Amino acid sequence: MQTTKIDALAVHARNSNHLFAGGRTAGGAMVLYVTTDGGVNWLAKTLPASGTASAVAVHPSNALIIYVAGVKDSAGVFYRTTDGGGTWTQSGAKVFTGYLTALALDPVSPFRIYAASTDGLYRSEDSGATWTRCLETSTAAVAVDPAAPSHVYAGGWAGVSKSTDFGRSWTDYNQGLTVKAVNALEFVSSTGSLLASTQGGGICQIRPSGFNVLLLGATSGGTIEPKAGLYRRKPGTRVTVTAAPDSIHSFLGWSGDASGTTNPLTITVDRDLVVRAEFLRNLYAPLEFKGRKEENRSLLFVEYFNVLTWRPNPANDSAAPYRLYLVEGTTPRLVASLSSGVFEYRERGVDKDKTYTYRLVAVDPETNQDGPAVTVTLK
Amino acid sequence: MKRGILISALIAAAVLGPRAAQTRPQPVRTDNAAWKSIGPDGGCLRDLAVNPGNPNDLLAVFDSTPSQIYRTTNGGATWKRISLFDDSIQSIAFGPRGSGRLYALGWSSAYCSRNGGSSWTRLSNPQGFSGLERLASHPSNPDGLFILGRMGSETTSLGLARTTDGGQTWKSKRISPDGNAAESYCLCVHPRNASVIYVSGFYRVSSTSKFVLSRSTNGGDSWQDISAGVASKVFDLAADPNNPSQIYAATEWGVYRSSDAGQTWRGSSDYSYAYGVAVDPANSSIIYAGYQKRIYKSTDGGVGWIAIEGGLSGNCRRMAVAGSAVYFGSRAGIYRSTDAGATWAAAQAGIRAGLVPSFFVAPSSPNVLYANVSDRGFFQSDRFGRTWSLLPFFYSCDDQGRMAAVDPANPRTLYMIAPGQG
Repeated sequence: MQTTKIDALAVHARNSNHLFAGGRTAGGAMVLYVTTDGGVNWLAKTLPASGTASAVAVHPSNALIIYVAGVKDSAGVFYRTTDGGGTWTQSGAKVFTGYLTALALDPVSPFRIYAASTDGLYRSEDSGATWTRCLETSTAAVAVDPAAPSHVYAGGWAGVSKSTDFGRSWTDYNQGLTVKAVNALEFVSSTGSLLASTQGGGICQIRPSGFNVLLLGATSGGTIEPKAGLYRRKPGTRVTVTAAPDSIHSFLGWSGDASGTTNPLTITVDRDLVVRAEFLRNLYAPLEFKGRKEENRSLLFVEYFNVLTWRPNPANDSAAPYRLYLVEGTTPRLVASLSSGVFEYRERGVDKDKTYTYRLVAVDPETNQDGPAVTVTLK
Repeated sequence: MKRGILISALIAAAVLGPRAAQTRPQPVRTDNAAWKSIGPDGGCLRDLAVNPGNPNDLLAVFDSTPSQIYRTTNGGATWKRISLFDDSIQSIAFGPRGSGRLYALGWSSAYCSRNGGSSWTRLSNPQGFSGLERLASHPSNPDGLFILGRMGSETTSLGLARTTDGGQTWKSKRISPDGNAAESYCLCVHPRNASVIYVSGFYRVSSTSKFVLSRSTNGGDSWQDISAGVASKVFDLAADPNNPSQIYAATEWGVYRSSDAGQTWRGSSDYSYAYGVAVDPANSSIIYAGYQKRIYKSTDGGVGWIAIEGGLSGNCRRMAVAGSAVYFGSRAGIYRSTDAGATWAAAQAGIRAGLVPSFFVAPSSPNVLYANVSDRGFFQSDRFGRTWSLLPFFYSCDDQGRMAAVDPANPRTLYMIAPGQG
């Protein structure tokens, strides 16, 4: 990669090996380097301008559509390509009066682009063909709420501003922000936290209000739809969750802020909620559980055994081990924990005339829970 | 010519620790919608002061707007912010032992607090100054204060203002000749004799900078140039509290020492840049000098020096010895040694003053963050800022904000533009 300076790096959201690096060549031309093999080989896509590329953004679903913000003749310039960098279209040359510092795409409508600049924030509604300045304070960073794309945040030396109408109107958003000089802004999309790094106050975090968090989870043995994770929803939103056990588990019910076995379940997200689907492994009792007494007679003594045998239940997963209990009164006492390939147990030193009742269960190897039992009584 | 290379840094599991990349965090149940700093701890230190009555009690102020003053009362183990100033605080000081006073110096005013920094009273401004730069309290008079700054408006010189009545009245005196620019570096009031004052700085006549190193022996009424033999900027001065005539100067050519209160100076053959200097009050032959990511220690009163590295970061701004601890305050924060300078560790828990040009969120894990911190390097958190660890390579970049990206599938892979090779 022959270049003097790289100023911006981006990775395609769906392909870790697809990277984009913007900068300036040794000859002073604006350039975008693209690799599709994780950085082993780079292809230079020279832009038809001198200057440096200061920010790169890639269309989330089409990696051939790339946006580059650059600095040319001490002012901002914007380029877009729809063929992966073969041809470039310039825009904004007479609109941007300051440096462009950052780009953000609307995650739902990626034709809507925000460009942060030293003389304010610009918005395009047509993939960068035309631009409007929508905020006049110097902006170093811009972020769009992935759960509410009309919510846009702009940060700069004077702090953070928030818009709830795609940048048309703005309010200060600095509550609790000690050091207001913001260098960068980004959403953690799964949790809805907005992070701002500052010049003298570290990284600051906020969770913009107006949303509740729904944490969906599942024990092993099944899946849920929507899949496990954190979701941000406006208060009152109804979410329908479906639990689907795999072939060797059953759906046991809901836990957390939900209960019961209704499936699918509709939840009203009227506050922060944790909802978990509980799955239980299907276990079947061992087959042909039998017992007999045996004696071992030598010259000096006689020892009696209880010999217990069984056959694995083919409906069980082969990995299921066993537990053997002796039932005395009401409480079973664990005699032995046995691995899944064992089908016989000999208990030594038993009383010849006593009655013994044994209980055998298959055990869930993941949860360590007992399955259904079979019993046998030896007299 | 600089050349950028791209490295794919697969961060080893040892760095991340065993609990890396949890994918199911607990939701935040209280939605208070206010910003809160999540670190990393630290900041770019501007000034550090030790309570003369308690070596575990220190004040620190950092580069930020507004200015943040932090205080520790446990020898740097933990810090709490005690004050915020809209003014840009240049310098801080404790009042004399037992006075309970704190002093802070803004660009145009000094402030005094009598309640541990909860509230501050602005003192009247000394006349004739265009910028106040260094502050020193009187070693025994709680109402005594010295300020070094720039005097004049059209032409500028270094000057000292002093008060003995808590800032109701000031006496000012020019120290350097007039020039077209001036800047203060150090104001050192002798800890045992407040009529002995040393100052350093520079002034500029047209385009020639002249270094200032001056002394007053009458509390600031008159000044003598004592720079003969020290042809350098003097960044810091330290007076030996046990020996009235012994003084040390941190310069571009290492630490100079004088045994006759600055009349004559001697350098060291082991010279190197030094930005800060401090004398161990318990053993006057032990001197510490601070440089970039490194200190120098002398055990023979500044004749021979050894360099010590490891655990330190940033360009030194203040050195201090307080009880059994040595402090190195730098652009990267505050570092402490409790074994006489042999080993060092960051001592800035709770300080939220970091300069963070950029940070990077792992798309596949809500808990993994990377922070690019000025003068320190890359930090990684796998617990959403509750803990941070410094990655074992030093790259930080103030002007290339978006020079890294986290792999969308693997939170442990960070792609980074490494600056300048070849």
